[in-house]
Amino acid sequence: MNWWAIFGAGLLAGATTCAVAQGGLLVGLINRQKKAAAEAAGTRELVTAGAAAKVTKAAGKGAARTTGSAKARPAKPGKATKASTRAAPASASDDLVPVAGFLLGKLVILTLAGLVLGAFGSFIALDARIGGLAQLVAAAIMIVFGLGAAGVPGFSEIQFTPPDSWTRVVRKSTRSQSAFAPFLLGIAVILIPCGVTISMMLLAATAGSAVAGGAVMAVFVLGTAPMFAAYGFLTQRYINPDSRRMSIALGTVVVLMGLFTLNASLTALASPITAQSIVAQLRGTPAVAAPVAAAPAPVNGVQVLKIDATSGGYSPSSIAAKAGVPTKVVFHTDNTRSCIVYTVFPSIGKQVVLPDSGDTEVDLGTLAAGEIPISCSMGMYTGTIVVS
Amino acid sequence: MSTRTVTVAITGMHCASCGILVDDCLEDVDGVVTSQTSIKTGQCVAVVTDMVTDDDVLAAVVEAGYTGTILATAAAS
Repeated sequence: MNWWAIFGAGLLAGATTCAVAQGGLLVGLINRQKKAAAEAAGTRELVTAGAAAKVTKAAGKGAARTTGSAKARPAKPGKATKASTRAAPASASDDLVPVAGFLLGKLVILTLAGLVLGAFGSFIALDARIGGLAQLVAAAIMIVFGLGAAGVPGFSEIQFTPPDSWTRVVRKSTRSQSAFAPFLLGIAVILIPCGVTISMMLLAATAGSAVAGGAVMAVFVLGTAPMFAAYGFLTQRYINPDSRRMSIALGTVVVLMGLFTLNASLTALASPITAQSIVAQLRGTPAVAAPVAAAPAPVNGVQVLKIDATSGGYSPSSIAAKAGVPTKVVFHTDNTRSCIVYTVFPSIGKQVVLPDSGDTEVDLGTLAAGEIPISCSMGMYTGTIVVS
Repeated sequence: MSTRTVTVAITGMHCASCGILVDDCLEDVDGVVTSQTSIKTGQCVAVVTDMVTDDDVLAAVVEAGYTGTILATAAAS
């Protein structure tokens, strides 16, 4: 998983897509609350002044000199002008608290969503074929939304339209006067995801585990944080740094993530056409390099291939085996925590769930000459048994 | 006070957040009764009182970060 790419997508999304609009909603909420607070303070001062005047009248001239509060000129409450609440004066330091509250709400809800999606995705991937097909669909949607984010005609019109009841929840939360309103708005925005956010959710679902899925969403949200911090200093006015170049950059990142997912699904489905095979063809080299590890000598007529399955891949990544000899693979894991624990042999329809730590034996039977690809169920880590 | 309905075509919206932001900005304008923006159609239908001009509506759309064009205006039923 390329975490920097996800963080970068968050950075760009924070400046170009729905995060910008969400920033606008947050700005409106903050300034509306400030205005209400100012009006309430004004009303209180008027009441205080009125009460003081009564006291003054009753106590006579001497007392009137002591009613300093009457000098205060309260803000004029009541009717709003046509000027938007977004133009209300703001204090930068005061604004960082609600901005942080909003980000925290968004971080919590999207990380939870990532955890659930990651768990669901890894459950789906228990059947390598279904997992591969699900990844294929996810990749296609990501590419479409990526092209849309980049503004490609025909794709930019494709948007997720939430039900009216969902948008009503968000609109209501922007009008709340609660101190927790920014946090709740951060939670509510999960109801109105843009294409890029949906793409990140799909990436989380294909991350291989609940933890990885949660991490994908958390890193993405944190990537949007710098722009929201900027809102914290600039809430006097909604800022829209949207630019064509940033939109294109964001769309490109999402499309690349979609292509990565597509390739992973093709790998998991044992497709003969993958990025690796295309590159190998272009270079005129075999898709699989000569095996790194030699074939082991059979013991009691069985050859046992030993492969370490680490969190970062298979070692050796390719191993030789003799054709016509009963073969077993022993995967060794040692505190392994990635989707590699769901290992599949797509070409022979075998799959195995490896423990975090330990040795797991897989009986492959007697093999014919050829290549047997190994991959994690998400197609992210690959290896090969070269049988000759 | 009589009201009228103003229909605005809006460009530059990406997602549901954009539609809500347009409605949010419009409903902050004194005299705007309701605003309903559709991402699907790219249009906003605002019910406004006499004190709100078409320019006020367009200004709010611009403030939200988008551009708008008045498509129609009619007395509210």
